[in-house]
Amino acid sequence: MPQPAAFAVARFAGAEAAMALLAKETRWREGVVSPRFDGAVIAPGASCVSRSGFLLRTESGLDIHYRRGEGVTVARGGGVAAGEEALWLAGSVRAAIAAICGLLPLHASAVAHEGRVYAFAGASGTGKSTLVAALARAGLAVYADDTLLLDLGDPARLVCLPGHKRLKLADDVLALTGARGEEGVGAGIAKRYARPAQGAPPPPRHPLELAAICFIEEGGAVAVKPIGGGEAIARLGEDHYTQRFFTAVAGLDRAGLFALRARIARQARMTCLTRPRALDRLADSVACVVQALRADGALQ
Amino acid sequence: MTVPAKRVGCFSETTFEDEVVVLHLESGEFYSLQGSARAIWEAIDGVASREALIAALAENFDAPPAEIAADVDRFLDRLSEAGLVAR
Repeated sequence: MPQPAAFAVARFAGAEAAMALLAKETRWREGVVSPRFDGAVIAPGASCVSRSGFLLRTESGLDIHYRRGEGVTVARGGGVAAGEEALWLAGSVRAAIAAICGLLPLHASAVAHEGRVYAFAGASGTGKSTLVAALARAGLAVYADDTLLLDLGDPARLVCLPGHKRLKLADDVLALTGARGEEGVGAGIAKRYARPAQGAPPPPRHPLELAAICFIEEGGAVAVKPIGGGEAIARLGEDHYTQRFFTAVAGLDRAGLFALRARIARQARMTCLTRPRALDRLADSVACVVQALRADGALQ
Repeated sequence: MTVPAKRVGCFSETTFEDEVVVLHLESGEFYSLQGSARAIWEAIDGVASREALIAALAENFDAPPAEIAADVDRFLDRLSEAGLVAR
């Protein structure tokens, strides 16, 4: 859908620096991991995060330790399923390190359009990745899958960091969206890593401003509607999965979290996509979102 | 004569184009105030009495004070129950 870029893409020096720091801090190696963190013994299945690091112990026997400036150390027990550590490293571990580096992780997948980012948020299983894969086939560049990192350093805008170049998709979604499936995700998850459909624009490699967050919800008719500030704050509050790291690290109290969510609701357009979940209606969702993106672009 | 006053320090508020969102800091509950609810909230200054609020709003909304009085009382009750306003 989008034509070759005829718009100027701003460069965000602060976010570029955050990207470089994150790349350095998420480097990992195998090694010995102590079950103690900040003096306390952490049980398998539990985790502990501080301003300078964390220890994550899975019930399956994976221990992941991170200390700011030292990077990540991984110890895998015998029962760890193939692919499990890659999932943790690309997911919660990256989100937690990002939070320690001052970035806000949002549980969202995203595309880029005319140099700005459009995020699609929702709980696990809502269809974020599916929608983004389908939007890629419609000509939009995939920007992030599952976790979108925001740099909050510029008080005037929300700047996003580009995520992984691959999506995690179920086989029926691969067939429907033309995404090119690669190896299975593993760890008992019926999804495969996938690259966006042939012909989709290449994923942008630089920070871009966040234009909008669209919350995906199930409903009969397909529609994208704006939502008010109060509703937006409530919906942003449902994102426990990624934001809990940030809240713990930033030491935000209720008023601080409220102010942060109000800022997001003010600086990004907040909308809601209602649509039936059935995959045979996916094309309708895509058409509706593409139309909304065009309208948003025209409003600039 | 009662003079409603906001319980300063118990809440945080933020204004959007057509709505004021108020968070009760202790309970974590928050409230989206629009239209007349927003007008009443914004008129509560700890100085104006209930009667003065009603008179001001009746003029603002061009409605009979009796009608406005019921709205104001209902809303003040809710704000009071929510712990956002003292009377």
